[in-house]
Amino acid sequence: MVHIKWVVAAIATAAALTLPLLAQAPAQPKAAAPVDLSGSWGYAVGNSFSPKGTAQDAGTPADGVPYQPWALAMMKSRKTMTGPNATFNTRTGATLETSDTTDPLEQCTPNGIPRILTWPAKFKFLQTPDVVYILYEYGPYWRPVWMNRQHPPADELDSTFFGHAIGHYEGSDTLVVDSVGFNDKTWLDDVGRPHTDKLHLIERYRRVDQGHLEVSLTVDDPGAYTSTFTFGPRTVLARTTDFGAALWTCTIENNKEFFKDIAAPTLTAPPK
Amino acid sequence: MRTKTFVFMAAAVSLLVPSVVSAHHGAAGYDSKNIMVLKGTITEWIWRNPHSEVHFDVTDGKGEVRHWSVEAPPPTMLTERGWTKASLKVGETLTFQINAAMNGSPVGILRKVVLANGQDLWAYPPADLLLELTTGAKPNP
Repeated sequence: MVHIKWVVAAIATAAALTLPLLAQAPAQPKAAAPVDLSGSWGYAVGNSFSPKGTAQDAGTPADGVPYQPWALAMMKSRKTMTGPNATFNTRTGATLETSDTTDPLEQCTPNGIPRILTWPAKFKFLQTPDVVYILYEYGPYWRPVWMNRQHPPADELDSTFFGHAIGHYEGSDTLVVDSVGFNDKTWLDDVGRPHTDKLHLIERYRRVDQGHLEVSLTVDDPGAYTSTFTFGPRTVLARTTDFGAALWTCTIENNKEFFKDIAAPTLTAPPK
Repeated sequence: MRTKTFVFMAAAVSLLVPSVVSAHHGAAGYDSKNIMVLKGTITEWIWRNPHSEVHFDVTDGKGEVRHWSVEAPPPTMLTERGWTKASLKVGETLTFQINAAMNGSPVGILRKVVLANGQDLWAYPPADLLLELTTGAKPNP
């Protein structure tokens, strides 16, 4: 009969030999993402992220945006390139430096999220188990969406144009992106709605079918608005043209030349 | 002086200047309801952001030349619509359909170019054609 102490010793030896091997075993591949967002998407999200109305309704009760008074006044004071306050370069003889627009994009300041979705260039998701990268033909910019994580503590958060994004999947068709850590240097949209560094943005991307993606945005900014508001869902289409075949890089020099060649003679006094 | 020889106004045609134009700068300066047709010789073709530009000379029946500067979409959009940087060449004489500036300046926004072989090259296509070009969707029969 085998003594119990030899049985224990045998088990201990086997474990000692096996456990290091298990520890060194390659990790099993993580499951594929439950939502397939592949494709090139764009670019009809719109240029005014209000719950109701059009760009021309910005700043009126028809737009459904719960502005704090200062935020409404700020928006109305901005000289935009579209919307009811559009006053782009209308001054006779204006140069870019003295043109009427105060849009930071004219100086090629990054447009950040969500405004980058207003631009006529495509975007694309690169999905990995731990991070979803969202790529944009405008810039070109890209941002990481950290999956199934938390935001860092507030004192570790930087204040940036695109913020810090975490994400998770909902059901079999939706990616939810939750971002904080913004600066206040960007406009929410093309009509000049402001935001503060308290902005908390939630993006929802729902894959409707092979050719359609629904985008909706929830703006939670207690520094500028009295309550949250949601834009969308707005449907964008899968594009068959190559993503990245052309990129949209902003340069101040190009903006100046376009203004000189086209915008100024279009909008200033006719030639005698 | 307007170049009447090669210009006619298709007053019945109503066209909206696409939203991207108003996204970048006010569209109020263009006559979006009328198309002007110009036959001109390209002097410069600029493929760039925020808008591409084509510059061309139009000669009227009296031999007077007027220089036009016309904006087109940026490369991201033109690429989707079948254009390349080589689509236009300096020295070519082609037919341009544009929405001209309302103030009489020789500037405008390009709708399409008719190439030498008769092919249309659209800068701002009609909605159904735009959908087909960018998504492959066929128009409803």
